Amino acid sequence: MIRFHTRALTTMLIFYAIGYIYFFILAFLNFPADQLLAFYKSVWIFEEALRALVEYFPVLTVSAVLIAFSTIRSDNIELSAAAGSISKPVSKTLVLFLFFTLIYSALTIGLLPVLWEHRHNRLYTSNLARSYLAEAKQAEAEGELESAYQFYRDYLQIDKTNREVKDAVSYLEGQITIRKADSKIPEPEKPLPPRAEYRNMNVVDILDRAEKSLAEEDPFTAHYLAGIVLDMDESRDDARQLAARAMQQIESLEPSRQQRREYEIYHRKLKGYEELIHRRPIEAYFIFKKLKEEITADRDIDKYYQESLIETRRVSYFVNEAESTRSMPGIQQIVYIDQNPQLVGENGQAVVYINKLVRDGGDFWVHGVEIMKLGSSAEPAFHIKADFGKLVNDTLLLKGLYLEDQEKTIEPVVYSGKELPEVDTVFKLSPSLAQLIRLSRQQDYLYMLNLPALIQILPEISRFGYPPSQFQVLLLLRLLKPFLFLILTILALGLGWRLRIRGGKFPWGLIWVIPLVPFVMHLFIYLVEYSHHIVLSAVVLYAGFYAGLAVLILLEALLLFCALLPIAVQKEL
Amino acid sequence: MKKTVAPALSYIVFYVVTLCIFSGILLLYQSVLGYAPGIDSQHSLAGRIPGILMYMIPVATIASLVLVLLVHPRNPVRNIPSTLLIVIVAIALYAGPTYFLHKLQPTMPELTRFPLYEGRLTQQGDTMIFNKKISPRGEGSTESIEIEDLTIIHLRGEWPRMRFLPKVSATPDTGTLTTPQGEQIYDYTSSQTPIEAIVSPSKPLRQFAAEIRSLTVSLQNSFQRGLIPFLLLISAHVLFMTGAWAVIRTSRWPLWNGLLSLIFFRGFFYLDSLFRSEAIQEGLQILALQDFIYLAPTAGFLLFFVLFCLWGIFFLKPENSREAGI
Repeated sequence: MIRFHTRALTTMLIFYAIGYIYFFILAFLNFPADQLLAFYKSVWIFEEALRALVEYFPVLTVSAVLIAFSTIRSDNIELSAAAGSISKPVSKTLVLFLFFTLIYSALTIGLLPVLWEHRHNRLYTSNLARSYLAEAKQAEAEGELESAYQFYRDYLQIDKTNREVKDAVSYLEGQITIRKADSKIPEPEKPLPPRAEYRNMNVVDILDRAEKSLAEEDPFTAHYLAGIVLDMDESRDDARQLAARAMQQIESLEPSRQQRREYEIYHRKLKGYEELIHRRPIEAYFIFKKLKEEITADRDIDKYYQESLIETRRVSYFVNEAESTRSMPGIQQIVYIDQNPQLVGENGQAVVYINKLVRDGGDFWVHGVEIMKLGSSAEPAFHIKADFGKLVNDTLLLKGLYLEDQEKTIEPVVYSGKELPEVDTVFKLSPSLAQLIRLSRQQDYLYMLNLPALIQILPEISRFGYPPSQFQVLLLLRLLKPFLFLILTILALGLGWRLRIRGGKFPWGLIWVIPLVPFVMHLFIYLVEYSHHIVLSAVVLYAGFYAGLAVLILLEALLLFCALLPIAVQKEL
Repeated sequence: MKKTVAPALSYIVFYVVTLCIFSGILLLYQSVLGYAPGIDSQHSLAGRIPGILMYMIPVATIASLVLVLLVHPRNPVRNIPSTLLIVIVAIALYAGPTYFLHKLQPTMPELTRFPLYEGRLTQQGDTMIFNKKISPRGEGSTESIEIEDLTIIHLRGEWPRMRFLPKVSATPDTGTLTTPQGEQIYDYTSSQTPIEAIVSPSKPLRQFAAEIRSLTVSLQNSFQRGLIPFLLLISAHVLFMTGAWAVIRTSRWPLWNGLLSLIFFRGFFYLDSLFRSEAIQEGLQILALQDFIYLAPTAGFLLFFVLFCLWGIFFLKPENSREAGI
């Protein structure tokens, strides 16, 4: 007696294994060396083969089931006729199909979007690395060594082990050091020229003036004048003695200088504190940062430094941190309409474009952002662009600070508008971070939107300016996949049974037909899926989502009926 | 009697069902492409039905001839009266509606594409468009459409990537957006919306569609040459596919026969375009048969029919022909 489920399972596993090997070879042969960095090769081949395996999972399954059942010889079977219901072996096989439908659903929802994202990121970073390399070589050719060095360093952030680029970086480091050393040859020290008032005085007069200054408790002037005398005549011991006495007095003043220093620090701390409580955290941050550099152990400074840093990070970002994420892959080309009253006022709208959104640990960085606020008049209220931005929850920070220079900042470029946002570098955005990621329009973005993501974004998609129809169609197509997988597999069982070899021996001469089956099944499944795409798209566009859902359910119920029919009409099954 | 008539009746059912399904899908496809929420263009879809039917009748005929062979467990190949009846019915159902539709001379009106939504973002390839207001256009009007407060967003290229235009005119017939100063700012004919991308056919399917289109043109040309060439061509199509049954039923493994029938179905359309290819036409000119170029597909299909019959006579085993159906 033939165990249908064992036969089906074995054939399916053989097909998956052969399928993976086939896709592996295909990925190896079609590795896009002109688009991808060489170090991605092995991981790319493995993942591309896996991605193809998941995508062609229905094709392989249907082909396997078809082959498993159509290769049963009709005279080589002992089955008790089913008594009005589906027989036990077939029931077991259907349970097996249900299990594989679950596996397929899990793979398409969980794994496939991740594999698509990896693929996209690898292509993106390779492209970026190549552009860095091209710019580095151009800068090197033009003699801009520092710029070339920076581009090579950026490249190494992506391709860390590239020996050739590493050598170029080492070479440029040496060249830059030599250049700096050449430009920093110290000039011989010259004695300070005496001030104009002493220039025409003789040694004796200067010494008198020095004595007088010392008597008037001005040891600094006395020391300075004694020094001028010694420059004029090194043999003057009286001048040397006077300088020593002046120095003694200077040293005796030290305690009062310490006091002055403490007083000065206290004032700086007070100013920093006032800046902090008057909501000027950036100014406060730079005061406390400088104080922290000068004084290592001061609890007040440590405390307010931390507080001002936290507050500063709420209204601005640090450019060096933003720049360090430049080479990272991310979600690209996010576009949406923002209607947040805090950004656009009542009944206002803003078109927001984000070129790239990058995640670095717990931080989210924006690279290239453009905002156009549309007012009621015939021109935009404002139109700005920023190179970088930081997203803190739903707040976009567009003011960039340089750690080393308080005066240097990056603020958005204002292209046009009546309401110039001179102060506004902090924007509250409507979408949450999770929603923002789903508003990407980058190539392949459709593949990265899985079923849960679509269910999450769909109720709010109109708020972000999109016609809901395309997301509704996508949702229905994602729902369709497991249904179709199950239906086609059941259909393959019934069809395979009907197409099994009639009498006699197995026609070994036709064994070469088996490898053709997946290719034909691919075309067949494509046509079935494509017809669904057309029907569901048309219904959603003209009658709405719920009509589309109803059509999907009815259509799949009808197809399931048609798939079960060949099994039902076979008395052996 | 029943055995003779049943396959022909099955053929009629298959023909009607496949014609309805294929035509319905094509109509829906065109309705997706012609979806224009900003303007009223629905009137043009009903007018497309005759053209769609004309396009789909050959496909339904060939598909039904394959299906009727596969579904009947008893092979009609050796049942001459049954086969003859199917051939007659198939020619009648192919020639009749095609003749009638060609008489009507239906024109497939160009699809009016206007994929912009009022107050919504729409994507066209690498460009996105947001507009606040679209002035409605009367039904059947060919005037341009006024759009207010349009923002165009380019997903790649130089910054700034957004451009604001207070007033723009859209001409759906040409697929262009123009400013009042006459500057053409966008041509949306060469790009797709995301939904259009979803229903965009794959390359093999596009190739198949092109072959069906050229077959329709071929039928149109033979219709213009007269009733006889028209009927000859249609009979050749039906006979080719009926003759192919002999080859399809060669093996005892119905799966192989099924695959073979799909190859014949696809091959039919490929052969038709091959018979009308330049290489064949040049060959006929060399043989001084340029006046009969239009008969090349008919002759080609009939030649294959004869070859299939010979194959059937010499190679088709009786046990295969009896039991190799689905």
